[in-house]
Amino acid sequence: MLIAVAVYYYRHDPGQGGLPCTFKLLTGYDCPGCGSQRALHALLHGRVADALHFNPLVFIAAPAAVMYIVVEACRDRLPRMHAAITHYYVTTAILIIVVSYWILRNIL
Amino acid sequence: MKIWIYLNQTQQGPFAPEELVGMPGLTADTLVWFEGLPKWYRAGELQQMQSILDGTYASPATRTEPDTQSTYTEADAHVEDRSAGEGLNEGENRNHGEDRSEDYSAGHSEGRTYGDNYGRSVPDNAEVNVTGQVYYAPEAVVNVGSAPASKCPPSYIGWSVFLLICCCSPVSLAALIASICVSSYYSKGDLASARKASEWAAWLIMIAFALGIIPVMLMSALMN
Repeated sequence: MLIAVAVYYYRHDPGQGGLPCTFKLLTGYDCPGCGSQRALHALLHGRVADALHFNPLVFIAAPAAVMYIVVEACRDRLPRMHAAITHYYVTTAILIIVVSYWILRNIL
Repeated sequence: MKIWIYLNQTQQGPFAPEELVGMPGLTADTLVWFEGLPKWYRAGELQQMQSILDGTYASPATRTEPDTQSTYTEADAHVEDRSAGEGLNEGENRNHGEDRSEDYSAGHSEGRTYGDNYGRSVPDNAEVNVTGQVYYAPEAVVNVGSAPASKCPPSYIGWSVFLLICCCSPVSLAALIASICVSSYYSKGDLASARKASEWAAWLIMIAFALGIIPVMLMSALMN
């Protein structure tokens, strides 16, 4: 499935009409995830600088999300790892990063 | 009564008491946990394990002494001191959770409690069934800590973060907050609230997913 997604975003440039963001459609503001499709496209074509420009958050949040889903799935094997990364200091930090990025990108 | 044991470096169980009679490797030094115990004890320290260890165990039906009686220990007393001012039931819950979360972060062994109370309190007339001093389990047992009952409910935080960057909506933000509440409540020892937050997170994630995906599908269907 990951490969299918990668192939799709490699061949298809979201800049020329990708899947729209509901939040942006409704409000006109960027959401924290807006630009992630374009960033992924740029990244798959090796344009790291462009990817950072479209959505730097993807570089932090996407690996974090994958890591969380994996650790959640095998929490019995990694109980201490699970406890450490789901600690609310960590999760609150993520929330603050995401929300402040959301506000800042719409102001600036 | 379901019993978990720590044998050959792994947590095993649950076992019925009769299954443990004559089990190879089970000695008075084997660490043991069952519901009602605040932490793992050596089998030799628990009265309930005596008959299992010496092979004279009889099933509860033939016994007069209630064997589901919660074990009340010095560790429990210590835990309760700290919860002075709160309801007994609530206080018990909170402190069990709290001690566990401290374990995970600090890894210290004192007062490690794995009891799950979920609303059941230790009866006032509970006996002190543990003989001798409270046994502090060795550090190696920290990983055994996931005594099945008092686990943190799933926070689904991965999905919340994923939704926030993929098909973002205020609902996925709420889902992330709910996910955070799960671990926050859990670290405070409030298992009931943590479970409720976990359910909320699951629902919000599904709603956010629907809100994010359905319009996208409609749009792409219309465009093509």
